[in-house]
Amino acid sequence: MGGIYKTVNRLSDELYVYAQIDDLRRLTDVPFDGAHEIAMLVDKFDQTDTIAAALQRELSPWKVETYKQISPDLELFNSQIRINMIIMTVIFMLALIFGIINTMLMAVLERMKELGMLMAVGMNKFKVFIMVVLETIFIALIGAPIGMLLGYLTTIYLNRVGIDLSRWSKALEEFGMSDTVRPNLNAETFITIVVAVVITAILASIYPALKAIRLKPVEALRKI
Amino acid sequence: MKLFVKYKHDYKKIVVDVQDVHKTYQETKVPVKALQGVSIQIEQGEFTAIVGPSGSGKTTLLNIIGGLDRPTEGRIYVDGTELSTLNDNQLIDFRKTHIGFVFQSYNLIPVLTAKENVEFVMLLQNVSKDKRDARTQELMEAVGLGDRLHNRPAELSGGQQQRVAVARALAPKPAFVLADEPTANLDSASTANLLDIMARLNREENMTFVFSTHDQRVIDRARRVITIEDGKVLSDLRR
Ligand SMILES: Nc1ncnc2c1ncn2[C@@H]1O[C@H](COP(=O)(O)OP(=O)(O)O)[C@@H](O)[C@H]1O
Ligand SMILES: [Mg+2]
Repeated sequence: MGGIYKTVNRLSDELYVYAQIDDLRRLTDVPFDGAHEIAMLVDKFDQTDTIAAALQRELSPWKVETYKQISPDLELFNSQIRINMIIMTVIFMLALIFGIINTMLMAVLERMKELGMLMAVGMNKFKVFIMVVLETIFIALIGAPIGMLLGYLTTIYLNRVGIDLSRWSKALEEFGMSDTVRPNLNAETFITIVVAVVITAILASIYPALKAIRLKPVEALRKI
Repeated sequence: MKLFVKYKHDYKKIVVDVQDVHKTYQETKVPVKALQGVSIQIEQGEFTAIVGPSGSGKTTLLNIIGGLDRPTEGRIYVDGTELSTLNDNQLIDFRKTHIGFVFQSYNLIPVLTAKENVEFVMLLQNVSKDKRDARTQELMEAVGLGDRLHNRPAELSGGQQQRVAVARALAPKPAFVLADEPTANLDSASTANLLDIMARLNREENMTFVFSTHDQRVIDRARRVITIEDGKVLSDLRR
């Protein structure tokens, strides 16, 4: 025995032994150019199932298995993360919707008199509606790039420095995870979210805009 | 309806014809009869004060004449159009082209300059830039603010703001200008100044003004004084 090793993953520490390949050949009678298992990495991991099926047709009687079959916990973990992402995105979008409704409702109610005056002197409801929606879009267009930049910089910084979870390292080892998390940003998610934010902003502006056109000039003007 | 009346050997156009108008506010617990059978005719070029104590119905009457509110009963013709025949959006368009408004609290848009405030309604009417510029300049000079075009309302005194409001009301060349207590927030010097300007526009441009007030100094300047009390016309004097 050469030594005992320790990684961040306690599961693998308990399961795996590393040995010289020649020692193993001697012990297991596997021929010199033989192997009992070949691992394949595919570029598009969401196509694993199709690729595995195709290989299976070619390679029977050999057994082709995907990572999901070999390690179902990994698949569970993956889908768990995906669901978590969706839940978080929904929560953030809801917060965004309420934030925008609140901001624009304030902007409308604060300017009741002004809107009343505009309608009194001949600005029609359609124009008032469009005005409120446009205002929201401008705010979103100013806010979105700032938010994008901040999000981008934060991710880059955290990716470089890593989020230190060593306080929970014991627990994380049980799951076979490292104690430093390095967030990554992919362009697709980034753009999807930005587009969703702008669309959300426009949708959220509809309620305040409706509120604005329901104002009656006489009543709006009476407000001090 | 009569579009013209014989007056001082001259036929004058009737700009506003209020026929037996009633207005009862129903939203309150006890219905309030704010107007109870008001009939008034206002001719082109008149300079009319609607006078009465607080709560007598001046604001209600002006709102109804201006197409901002609808009567419970009775008819209003403005420039020959009966207002009840217009739906809400048509009424907004009608106000834009026919009626100038001056409000008690000026109601200028704070983020726009004086010039932009005056230009605003003309923008809604798609008037070309050259015409807008010329008209704005002309009006701002008429109200004595030819040199304050690029000031924001916050940089102007109350009297100056109200003069900008008068210029704004005149911009779309309305049939008449309605002003609900336009001098209520002004000191006496600004009040006199505003009335000088309104009276001159009335005399020189033949612009029709209808304003409400309970300030005796303003009443003294009017050429016609309609007194209302409890929603009824008490007296109607021309001088
Ligand atoms: N929106 C409203 N709802 C209920 N009552 C009103 C409303 N507006 C005015 N009134 C009532 O109608 C009467 C006339 O009011 P108003 O036209 O504002 O008089 P003025 O302008 O002469 O002070 C008052 O008794 C007032 O309380
Ligand atoms: Mg009043």
